[in-house]
Amino acid sequence: MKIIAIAIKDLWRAFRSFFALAFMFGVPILMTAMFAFLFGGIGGNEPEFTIPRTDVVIVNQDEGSLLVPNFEVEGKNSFSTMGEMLVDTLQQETFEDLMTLTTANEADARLAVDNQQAGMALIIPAEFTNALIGQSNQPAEIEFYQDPELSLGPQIIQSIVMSVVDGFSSGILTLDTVTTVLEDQGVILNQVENMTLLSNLTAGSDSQQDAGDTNLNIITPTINTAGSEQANPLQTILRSIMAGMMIFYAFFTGTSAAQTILQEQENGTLARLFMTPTPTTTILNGKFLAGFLMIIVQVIVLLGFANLVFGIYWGPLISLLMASIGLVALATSFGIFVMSLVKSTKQAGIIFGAVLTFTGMLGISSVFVMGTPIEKAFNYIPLLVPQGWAMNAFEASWNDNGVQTLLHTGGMLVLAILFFAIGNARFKKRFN
Amino acid sequence: MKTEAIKVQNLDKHFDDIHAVDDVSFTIHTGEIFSLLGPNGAGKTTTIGMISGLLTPDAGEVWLMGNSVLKSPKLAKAALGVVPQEIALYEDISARANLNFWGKMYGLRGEELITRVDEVLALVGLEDRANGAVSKFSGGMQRRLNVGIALLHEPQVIIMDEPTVGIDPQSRRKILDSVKQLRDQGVTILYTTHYMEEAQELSDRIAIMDNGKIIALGSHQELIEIVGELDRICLTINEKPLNVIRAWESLEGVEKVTAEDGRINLFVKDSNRVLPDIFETAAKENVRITGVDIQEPNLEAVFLHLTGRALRD
Ligand SMILES: Nc1ncnc2c1ncn2[C@@H]1O[C@H](COP(=O)(O)OP(=O)(O)OP(=O)(O)O)[C@@H](O)[C@H]1O
Ligand SMILES: [Mg+2]
Repeated sequence: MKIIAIAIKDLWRAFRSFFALAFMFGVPILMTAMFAFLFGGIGGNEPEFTIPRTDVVIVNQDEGSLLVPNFEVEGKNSFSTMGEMLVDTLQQETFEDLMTLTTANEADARLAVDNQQAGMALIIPAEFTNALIGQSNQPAEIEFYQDPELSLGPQIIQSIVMSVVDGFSSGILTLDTVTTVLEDQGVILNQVENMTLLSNLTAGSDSQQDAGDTNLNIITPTINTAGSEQANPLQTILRSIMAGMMIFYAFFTGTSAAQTILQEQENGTLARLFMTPTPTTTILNGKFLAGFLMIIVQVIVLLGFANLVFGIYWGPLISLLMASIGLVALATSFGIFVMSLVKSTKQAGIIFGAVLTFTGMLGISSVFVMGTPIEKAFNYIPLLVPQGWAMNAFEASWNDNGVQTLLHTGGMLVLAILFFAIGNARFKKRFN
Repeated sequence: MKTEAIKVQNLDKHFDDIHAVDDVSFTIHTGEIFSLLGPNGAGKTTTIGMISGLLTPDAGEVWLMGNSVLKSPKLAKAALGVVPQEIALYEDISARANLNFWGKMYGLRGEELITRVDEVLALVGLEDRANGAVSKFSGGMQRRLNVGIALLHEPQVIIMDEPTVGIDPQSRRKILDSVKQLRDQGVTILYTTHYMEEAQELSDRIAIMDNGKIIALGSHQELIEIVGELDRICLTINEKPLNVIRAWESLEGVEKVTAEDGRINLFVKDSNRVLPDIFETAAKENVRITGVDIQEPNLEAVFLHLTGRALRD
């Protein structure tokens, strides 16, 4: 098909052009990487971000050990189970900024996480104490039930719990060592003395990092809840920047693809095409198709790159697909529309310099006002320009707002049809 | 009876107030090389634009191999290859990539396309540079590729619009030879030029065009006869020519005298006989002759005879 041959020729030429590649992929990726570098604290500056506080629901099912009725820690309360001791440790002031603790039964705790009322549930099983002191066949287990999307806060809690439990087990190891030494010297401790010694050893060993293999199993189930309220703020910013850059430059791609019609007109190849047995419609549609394909490639590469390299979550696949299709259609047709209004590549320079930059900036302005008091106003102002519809659609997608995504995609498609109809008619008329 | 490869009837085209093509009609038979000879702005390219379906005529009609360009453009265009006056290539890709693309636009596919691309590369002498970017080509090489593209689909009719403008003698020779080669294969060629030597060398028939009109049409011999086999003596003189021209006009054997910025053309039956009289007359009128050029009749003379102007500026 000639239409495909024309589109492929245009794609081939574009992908051989350094400038086309730089604007399609280079600039958006560089901008995002730059922000990742600045805010990610890689440069050694103090990171601006405070770790988000996580709501932790504790389910302590530990039944303790028949062997040990209670553990005493010097200057502190006595505990009847290791589970209690873990909870007490987590309630220390040091951890106040990191987590808010509540207790509940297992079912309620899981429900709270599922409903996103809590960031994670920490479930201590009945056999916890027995397992830790070697009185069970199974290793000690703690279950961290959490939303897999909320990475940072729960991850920190997890590592705190692990090091606390490490402390316990290294305490047990030390106890073993101590009792062996005493036995060698003919001293036999009774059970109560034994356990008091254990508690003291445990309390004094909070920072023994290289405890080696803990006999602790971590269970982190995957839960299918998508949410972003508590998403990593760095990723939230990178996501907005990447989306904004992608939209801004997708419109550049669409416009420069349409501009090749004027370029071909000026260097005579368009006239030559018209002298071949190829209908005008086929020639124009082939060139429109080229722009469409170019933006598809651009969007896939940028979305994929952001996901793989920065771990950015774009929303449910369906929503993401809708927003992307809308963007591709709108950026292509907008390019055709604006180029149908100008006569020469000289005039087209103004389109790039002024029109695209202005509409593009306005369209993605929500990125610049993020977190400022005027943020709310910029929910609607960008809708004055096509880029704004695309930005809103992508925002709705990653906020998991299917209805809004659909509405904005619908709006984009209506605009796309409108722009295409006008642009196409004007080009057809020009080349009759 | 010869068939009509190109038939042009009462073509007319205006650009605003310029009457670019004014009631032009001619017929080119199959296998013929037909030249449109005319100065800049004569209307050659505009005529070709209407024949190839690029421009819509204000009036008139064109048939290519019996198909109306206006009514069945696809059929008509399929039989036609056009070499545009301005080089029209994709400079950022290779010669082969250009040929591949244009071949597809003429409906070539697969094996046939591959074979034809190689044949054309050989025909225009670009085999060695096939994979090089066109932007690195010399002007002459670009011209040759520009010609090659029009030959890809082996059209029955080829139109070449000043294909040799501004190139080195070698490339020019290559192009003229390929035109003859095509003629030998039975291809019909419409060739425009403002070089009378090219028209003379190649053409079976020549149409001389000026100001949008065809002012003479015929074989080289027929056109020469218009000026009546007169020799042309071209003189350069140092004085205002008015009086001496009148004196020269009245000399025996001088048929016509024209003057154009200090250069005088005398059309004479036998230059050897009248030259002494011409010098004598000049001496009497106190006019110094500073240059003499004697030419046997040619197309230049025909154009001058018909328009009073030189073909080349
Ligand atoms: N697109 C156009 N718009 C306005 N005027 C035009 C256009 N094309 C040609 N003309 C005018 O029409 C006349 C004929 O031009 P044309 O290009 O056909 O001449 P030509 O014989 O091909 O000349 P050349 O030898 O310089 O190529 C000229 O006066 C030219 O200025
Ligand atoms: Mg011309």
